[in-house]
Amino acid sequence: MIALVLAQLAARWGQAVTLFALSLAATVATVGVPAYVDTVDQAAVRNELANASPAERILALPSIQAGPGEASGRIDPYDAARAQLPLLEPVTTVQIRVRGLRADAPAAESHLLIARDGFCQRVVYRSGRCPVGNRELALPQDLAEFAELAPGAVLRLTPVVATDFGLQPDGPEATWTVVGVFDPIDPADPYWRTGQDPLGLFSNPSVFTTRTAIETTVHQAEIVHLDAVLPDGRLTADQVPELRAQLERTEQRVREEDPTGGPITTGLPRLLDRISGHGDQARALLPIAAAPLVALCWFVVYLAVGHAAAARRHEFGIVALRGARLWTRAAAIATECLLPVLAAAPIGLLAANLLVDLVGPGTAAAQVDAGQWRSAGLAAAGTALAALLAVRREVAAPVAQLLRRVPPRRRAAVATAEVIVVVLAIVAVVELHGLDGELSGVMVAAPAAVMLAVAVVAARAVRPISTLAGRWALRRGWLGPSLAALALARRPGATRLVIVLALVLGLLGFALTSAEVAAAGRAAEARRALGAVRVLDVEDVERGRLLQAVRAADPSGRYAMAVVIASGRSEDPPVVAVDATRLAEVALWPAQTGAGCEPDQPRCRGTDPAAVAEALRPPAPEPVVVRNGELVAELGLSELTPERTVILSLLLSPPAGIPQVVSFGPVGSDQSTYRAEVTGCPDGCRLTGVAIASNQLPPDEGIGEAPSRIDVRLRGLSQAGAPVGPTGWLADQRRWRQPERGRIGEFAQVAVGEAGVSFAQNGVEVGVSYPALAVDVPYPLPVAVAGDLPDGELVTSIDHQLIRVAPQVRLAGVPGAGAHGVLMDLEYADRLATDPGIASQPQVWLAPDAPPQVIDALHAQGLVVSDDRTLADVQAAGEGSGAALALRYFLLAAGLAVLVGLVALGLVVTVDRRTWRRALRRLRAHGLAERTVSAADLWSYGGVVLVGAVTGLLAAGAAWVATGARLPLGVDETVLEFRPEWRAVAPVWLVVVALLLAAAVVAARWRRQRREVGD
Amino acid sequence: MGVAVACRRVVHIYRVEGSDVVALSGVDLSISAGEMVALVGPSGSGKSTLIALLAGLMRPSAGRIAVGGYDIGKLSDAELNRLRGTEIGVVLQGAERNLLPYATLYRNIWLAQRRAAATRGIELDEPERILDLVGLSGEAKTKPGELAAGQRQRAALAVGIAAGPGLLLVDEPTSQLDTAGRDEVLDALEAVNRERGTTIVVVTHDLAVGARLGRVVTIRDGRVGAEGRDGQDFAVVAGDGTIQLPPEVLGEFPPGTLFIVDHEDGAVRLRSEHD
Repeated sequence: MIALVLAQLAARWGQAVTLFALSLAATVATVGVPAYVDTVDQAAVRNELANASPAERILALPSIQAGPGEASGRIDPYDAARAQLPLLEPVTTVQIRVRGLRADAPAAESHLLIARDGFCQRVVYRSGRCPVGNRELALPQDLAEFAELAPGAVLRLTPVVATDFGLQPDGPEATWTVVGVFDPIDPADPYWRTGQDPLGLFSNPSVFTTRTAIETTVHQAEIVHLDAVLPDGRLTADQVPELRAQLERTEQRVREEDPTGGPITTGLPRLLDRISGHGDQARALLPIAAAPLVALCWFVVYLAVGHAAAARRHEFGIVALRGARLWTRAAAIATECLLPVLAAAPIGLLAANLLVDLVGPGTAAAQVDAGQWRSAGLAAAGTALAALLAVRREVAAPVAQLLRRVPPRRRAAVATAEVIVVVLAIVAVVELHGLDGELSGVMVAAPAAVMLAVAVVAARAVRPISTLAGRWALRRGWLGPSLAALALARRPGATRLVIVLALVLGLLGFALTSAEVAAAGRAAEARRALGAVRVLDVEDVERGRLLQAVRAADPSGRYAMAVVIASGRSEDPPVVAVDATRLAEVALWPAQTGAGCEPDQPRCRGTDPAAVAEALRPPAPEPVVVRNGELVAELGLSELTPERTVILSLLLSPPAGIPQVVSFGPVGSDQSTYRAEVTGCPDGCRLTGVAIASNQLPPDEGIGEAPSRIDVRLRGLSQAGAPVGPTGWLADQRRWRQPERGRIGEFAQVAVGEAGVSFAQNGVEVGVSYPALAVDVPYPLPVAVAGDLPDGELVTSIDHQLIRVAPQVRLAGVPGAGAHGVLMDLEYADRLATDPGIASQPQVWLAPDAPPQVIDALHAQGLVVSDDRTLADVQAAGEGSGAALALRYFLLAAGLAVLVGLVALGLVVTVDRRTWRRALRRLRAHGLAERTVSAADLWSYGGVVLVGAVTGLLAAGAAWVATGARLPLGVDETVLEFRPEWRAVAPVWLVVVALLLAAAVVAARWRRQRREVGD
Repeated sequence: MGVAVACRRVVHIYRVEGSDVVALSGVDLSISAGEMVALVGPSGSGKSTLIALLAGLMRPSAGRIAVGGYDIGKLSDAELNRLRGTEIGVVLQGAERNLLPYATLYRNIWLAQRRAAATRGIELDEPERILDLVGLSGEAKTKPGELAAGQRQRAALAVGIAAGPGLLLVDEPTSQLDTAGRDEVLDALEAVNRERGTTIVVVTHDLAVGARLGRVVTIRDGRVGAEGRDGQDFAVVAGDGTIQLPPEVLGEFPPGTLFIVDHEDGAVRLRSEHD
């Protein structure tokens, strides 16, 4: 039997090669999924490690403070816990504080003297060597220059401890020798970025020595830090779950060892989550791409084997005629199909890995593992099943039927299969939309099912339509097109080819659409996440100072905008406070962010940024401004518990710098005019609040006991004989506010009247100040909101305090924040703030056309840029996401599908050739003109391709409409525009249609040439 | 050894586009074991249908067909299949339709022997020996496409007799052969019959073939119309008592002519009512 099968293969090697190629494609598509996921995982590890913050690569156990020798007993358990992290490199640091590095240093200057594992391997010595002996030191270059020290220098250092009274000696002075001055090989190495900050990025640099040297130095207190660092190249994707488990075990162990101790500090879980997230995105998307391709391959295998089996029915009849048993017949028929399929499985597995190595994002070859073998087995089994289904009738048919020249038609079976396909597609769509299903599990086949259903229905319609078209053309005397149309209607191979081409072009369209929509979404998301084409992060600065500096650096208001981003509790939306006067000029806004909407149109687009800015900055009440000099207050004491006095203080905020307090009192009932000198407000200070306090104990009461009441009335303020503040401000209730949440009793109660404003407080505790908050902005504060506000109209503002807001515009997203966030005016928000004003996440956003001089001007204004991010950087990072990488596989799968389509086209042409040629020859013999025959020939498969293209377009559109919104594209759906940009999709699609058309025409011409030669 | 064949009032009706077509309308035919018979008759007379029924490829609509000890109509598909693999050899019209084109003659014969070898448990002739029998010595490694037409027909015969059947049914073995080729095929058939005693039924249009085989059965209108043995033509009384007149006689007496039948001294005489 083997010889017989080999003879079959040798005789029909073309068919065997075709089957092999199709099976190979199915295997590549299937195995490609785990292989590609492997490379996405690799890329995720590489990219995320490269972009990880130091905290995300460091684990710090609770530090141990102890006397010399005491720590070791407490270190061991922690050390054991840390040892459960073999993927991390342990770094132990023992530190004491010393004074005396510089002879003329101020008394408060001290440095950490540390002994740190592995530091000598991470530095390059500018001079000298690594400390090895007792009392030897090495210094970072910066510190050596600062202290004017070089190798050979002898120092006398004294161990000290920091106390409330300054540095106190912790041991006797000892002599040390500087033996080396070094630079770190890689300052970005997380080794240097642990909490001790050994290089002094944020504090004084440390002095390095050996563990022995510290142990032999007489001192009383030392701190031991037990860190672990994730080095470059150590982590692989498949180790992520293992490392996560190790972290959990370590944390548990630490808790068991010291339940009252501090927690482990690490950002590693965040890093691992992000790495896993990329892989998860790829795992979610890739099967959706592979499923249609695999289904296409199986369908073409079914058609190919079915065609071939139909052509060889008589052979099978011969075998049956000789009394062969069923299994012998099955073997004779099926083995010829199965051998190429089985051979393709291992080769396909290797080919998939090679292909993924070529086009995948990984740096190393994917590992051929059990998962890949399972996928290859699945592909081979599916292909074999498709082949067996295609020959099932030939295996089981009676001999007489096999020997008949014309096989019986299978209309009922075909119709049943078509109905099943359509029903499955409908069920899938209903499941996705009606039951809120996801494109996971078996539902990954939903797009393929929809495409197949459309193709099948269209192919079913092709026959009557082609018949009508053929007759119509015939009536008009267009014989060539008429013949082609009638052939399309009558040849089963042609309608099947329509299905195949529709699937190919549908898959291509779906892939191109997915990739384009996702790319546009990623771009929009990047724009929205960054907020501007270029964003400068600046080092800590007061909010008012930031605002002033940016306005001064760009007086035109066209190029730069001050921004402060604040994140409150995890459930709070991030707050983006911008200089709204520049919002329209600088920020990437609706057209680019897909953001702006009216309140009753949550997904609308196109809100004018100028209108949003105007909504954020309505006219504000004139502030009450106090300047340096004498300030006169008219006060009245309405109520005061006997034996107490009261102080009234004005809280003043300068444009930049330290808030000022001006106090009046003690306020007595026998006096109405009080004077105080204002300093620190040369440019004027805004009144931000008024505080009342009781400052004297009643002789018979203890502190905090015996509640008392204060009620002080402020009737007026004046400077240099002129009233301070706009007219009537004291009697305006809108100029005062209570805290939005918290203990009301901590604030003074405000009541306004024609005689001024009174501040009252019951149960006054001595020494406690009771403020009232002044308001000189519209309050509740106008904001633009994206997403929901968890606390109704309360928002944690840039000072981390709750304020009441009035949403004016509802956005789909906030630039600089994302799908959820609150946009407000920085100046107004700063005026409402109650803290001194250090900005959290201060930024400067730059417009696309911002000249370089703006940055110089920012520097000149004293802003220190700590990071510079461009839109291109953020977009490039987005292109490395798991979903983005997975979508490349969509295109790869579509490319493979096109190849399969070409194979199918060639196959059908080959199989149909004889019949079509015979028919044309007869027509030619009956006098049909050669030109007409040529036209029929040209239109025959060209027409099939055109019909397939139209059907494919419908299939792609239907699949996209039905399932596109459920694709896990890895982009926030609020920025996704599900209508693709046709100008990006259509050219590639049309080129492939043209390619198929050309292939069909070439096949037709080739046939004709062959026929002419044959004739 | 050959097997006997008996057909009793065999009727076969098949449907074509919704209409019933009577292919055989009561065939009575007996063939002795080891006999060689030619079935002749005009196209559409039912020859090929009869041979398909004898091969068990179709079942008769009515009547009985016995091949050896088997009643063909009562056998299951599996039993018929086994019978075709052991007792009945079939050579279809057109030599190439009997041969796997990609396989050598040896492999074609080997495949045809598999069922018999497995079922009967006897040692069959080697393929080379069978090829010798049909005059194709040394062609075991040859593929069908490499043979001349006559050789190919003999190769088909070789496949038909590969399993050592008692009955060999051959459809138009000489239709596309020249005289020499025809003679080679007939020689082969005679050799098979001579050496193995195989009963051979050949469907042919070629009267010369019938003459070589000795017994010629003429099928007309789905019945056995006449028989010729050793050069002598006979009319045949069918099971229902009918006799088909020879065509030349029928020309003189159109359908509907009334005869008076006289039976005298062992002879039957038909007399027109006008005589």
